[in-house]
Amino acid sequence: MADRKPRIDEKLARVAFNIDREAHITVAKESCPGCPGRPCLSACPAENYTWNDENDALVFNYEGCMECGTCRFICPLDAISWSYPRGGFGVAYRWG
Amino acid sequence: MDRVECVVVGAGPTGSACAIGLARKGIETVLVERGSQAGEKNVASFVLFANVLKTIIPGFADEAPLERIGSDTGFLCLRKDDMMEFRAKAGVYYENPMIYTAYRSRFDRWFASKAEEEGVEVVRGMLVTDVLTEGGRVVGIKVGEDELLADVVVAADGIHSIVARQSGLYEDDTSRYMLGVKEVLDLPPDVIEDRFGLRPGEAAVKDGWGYPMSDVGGLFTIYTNNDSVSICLFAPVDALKAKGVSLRDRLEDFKAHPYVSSLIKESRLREYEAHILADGGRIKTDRLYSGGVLLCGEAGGFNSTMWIGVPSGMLSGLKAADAVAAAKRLGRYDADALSCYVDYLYETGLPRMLYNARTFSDFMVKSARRHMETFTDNLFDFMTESILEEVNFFEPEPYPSLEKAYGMFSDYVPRWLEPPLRLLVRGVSKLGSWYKKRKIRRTV
Ligand SMILES: Cc1cc2nc3c(=O)[nH]c(=O)nc-3n(C[C@H](O)[C@H](O)[C@H](O)COP(=O)(O)OP(=O)(O)OC[C@H]3O[C@@H](n4cnc5c(N)ncnc54)[C@H](O)[C@@H]3O)c2cc1C
Ligand code: SF4
Ligand code: SF4
Repeated sequence: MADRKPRIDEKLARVAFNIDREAHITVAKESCPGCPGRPCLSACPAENYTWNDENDALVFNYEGCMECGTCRFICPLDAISWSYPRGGFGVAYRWG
Repeated sequence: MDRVECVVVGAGPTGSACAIGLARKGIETVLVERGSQAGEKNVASFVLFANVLKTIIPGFADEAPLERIGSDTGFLCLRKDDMMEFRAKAGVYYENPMIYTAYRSRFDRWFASKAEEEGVEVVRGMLVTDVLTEGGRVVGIKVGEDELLADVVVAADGIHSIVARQSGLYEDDTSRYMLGVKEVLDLPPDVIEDRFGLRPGEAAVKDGWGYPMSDVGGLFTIYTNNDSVSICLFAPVDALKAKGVSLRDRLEDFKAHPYVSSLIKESRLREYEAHILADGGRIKTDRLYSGGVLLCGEAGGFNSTMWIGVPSGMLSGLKAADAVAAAKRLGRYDADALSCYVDYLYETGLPRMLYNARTFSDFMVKSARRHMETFTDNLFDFMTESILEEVNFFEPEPYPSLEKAYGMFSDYVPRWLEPPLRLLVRGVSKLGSWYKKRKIRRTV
């Protein structure tokens, strides 16, 4: 049994990425402080959406995106504009 | 501007099957894939039902990158500290395998290379960004600034299909979407065979429900590869949205369950993965084609919660290839010429599968997701208590098993029918008890 919950970066360290310079997903973050439930924080399996309490603002990190597509359908305020990275970039599963 | 007869977008199992079908009919085909290799974007649990693949490549078993033979199948039901399993170990499927475990990254890459051997031009690392239209009909694709004209474009670009969306055929229905989160865990082959009770080269294929997913109506799978175990948790996207549930946390709860942890202890994480799928049947067949374009595989909603997206995708791809060939014979590629796609689909069991997937997922959405927890509890009580009652020698009455069994399903009965049905069940149960008591006296 796991003694503690592994951190997400330990898991993502096992995934290969070919990171593009430009973000393929963008968030209109001004909506986020008033968002009910902020489901992106819990739903993204890569924990790419986090909340910065000090600035009361969303932090989004596209580099660890596994391109599952959950956040495309999750945002109650339609603040997430979702697309794939450019061809050849992004996640590259070795097993899948 | 370049021009080809057919462009297939997406080199998943659907796209490669379609491209092979097209090439064999002598149709000049380009297969475009956004990954720098076919398969590197794709995730499945992954059991492969090989019935369709066998018709495409009869000798696949000797050359495809397959892991183990799925002749040990089980359905698991979990509660926090409990587990229940219905398991079948089929001799005939070990000798004549039809189900295999595999990795998508390796399988899809191999399958795309088979398309290449058939003469298909496979273009990798290219994201199709839009379709070209002319007079309301699709006439090609856009890859960034580049354009490629084609008589027909086949959408095999999966659940996030750009081709289906841009051709106006797509119908989003998030109530049918599920997120799958998966871990591939390293374990030596002999440890796997020991722990799962497997014959050499045999795979355990376990699907299940219950803990830690019953509140969101989720499902899970545990499949074994040669030297790894793939565990995967699924939950409806709507539930993740409404309940703020984190599948990555649930996966840790799942791994810590006493039974699951006994199977995977001391393993090491090889890869972490996630992908969305759709329950299937969300697109009506008359929306699967239009002028110059056909939808197949997951882009056309060919999937179901039975994990048969890959073979159904392949077969839809083959039928799309047949439709393109028929349109070519007519010399036109408008909606009318391509409508034979649906006729060809109806010659197979695919519409039946779509219907079943649709009704099953409606059932899951409307009923089972709400009642999964009670159903699981009742099932456990039924299993454990019926044993206890059998050994309760202090009680001379036969126990009311019919009433117990009814209790398991009473949640699914419409409310208005519930009181009369309960009375009826009680009556029949009483009568049964009386009859059984009489029989006991006469027999023993
Ligand atoms: C977690 C999970 C577990 C599953 N388990 C099973 C299982 O065990 N057995 C089973 O049979 N099915 C399973 N499925 C379902 C199965 O994965 C899908 O039904 C199947 O992958 C559909 O195949 P496809 O070729 O239509 O789509 P995909 O496999 O999604 O392939 C689409 C391809 O198109 C490419 N692409 C997408 N957009 C573009 C673009 N714009 N330009 C260029 N290329 C593009 C992608 O990179 C990809 O290679 C599972 C699904 C998930 C999510
Ligand atoms: S769900 Fe949308 S609006 Fe809410 S916090 Fe996340 S990105 Fe912002
Ligand atoms: S696509 Fe998936 S992995 Fe990527 S940011 Fe959205 S939810 Fe996270």
